[in-house]
Amino acid sequence: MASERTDGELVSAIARGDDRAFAEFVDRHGAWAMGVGGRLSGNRADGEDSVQESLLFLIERASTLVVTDSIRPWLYTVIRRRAQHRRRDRRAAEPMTRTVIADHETVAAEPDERLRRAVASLSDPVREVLYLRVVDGLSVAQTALALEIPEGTVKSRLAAALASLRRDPSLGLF
Amino acid sequence: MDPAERDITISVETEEKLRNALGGSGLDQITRERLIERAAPALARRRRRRIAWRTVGASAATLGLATVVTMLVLRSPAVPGFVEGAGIGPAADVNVDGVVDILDAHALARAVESGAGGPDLNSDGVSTRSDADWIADSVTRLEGASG
Repeated sequence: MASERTDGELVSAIARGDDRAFAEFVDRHGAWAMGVGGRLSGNRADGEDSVQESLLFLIERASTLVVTDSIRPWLYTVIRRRAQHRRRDRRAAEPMTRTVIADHETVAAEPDERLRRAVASLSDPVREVLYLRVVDGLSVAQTALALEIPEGTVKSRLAAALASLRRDPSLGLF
Repeated sequence: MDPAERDITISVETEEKLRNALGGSGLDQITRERLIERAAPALARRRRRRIAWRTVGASAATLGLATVVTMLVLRSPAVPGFVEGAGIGPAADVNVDGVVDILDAHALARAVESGAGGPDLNSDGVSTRSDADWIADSVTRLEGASG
């Protein structure tokens, strides 16, 4: 079996316009990117548009990117900016009446309602750290890079998130 | 364990619960195809740009090579020691040292003055002091031209 290409190798191939490398990239990061785009944009459609724009930006910048580890922290910052623009545009056009919980219901597939509500009640910065570390599987360093905050802040926000969730015994988190 | 580290340590069970509850719905085939299809023009642009740069690079390399070759051809004498193109040929090497220079003009002037004669370099039918002057003029012009 051929060894899997690193993110850096894939990005280099994309810089040359390699279709197959791009498809491989989408297979590797697409689901994760859609998850990020969905939760940051507030709905799946805007999330997909944010991801699409971010991927086009990646293709445009591929030749100047130096990827030594995972591309995800960089891609996260790109998706986040696009998602923020979309949310801002949407708020300006049509005031949102739905709650954050409703947004997450649209994106998340699993029906663990109580836990999702508890997570949705966390503040945005704390919740995002929890998502990146636990759901997306980024390391503390990668999370710090993605959110452009110090590692210490990542740890304190994660601690706050977990402490909040552990306080509710019905969630059964330890 | 550091208390701060303990605060952010997550058990496998907790992690699994959170992932199950919060994990995204994945990437369906239609969305995957859409993402790839919409990126195709941008990828094609990258390929075209790459080909364009390659062409420019190859053209520049060819031009550079041609310039270097032309300069070498112009600078290298057909007969070692002689510079052609200004009408100076082996016949002007009066002192037969392999190089046409001001010493040949001097040698020809002395030969003409002594009656020994010499080559008719300016094609006026006779070998005179003007042939020595012709060598001197040519050599001086070449030296001036070469900087």
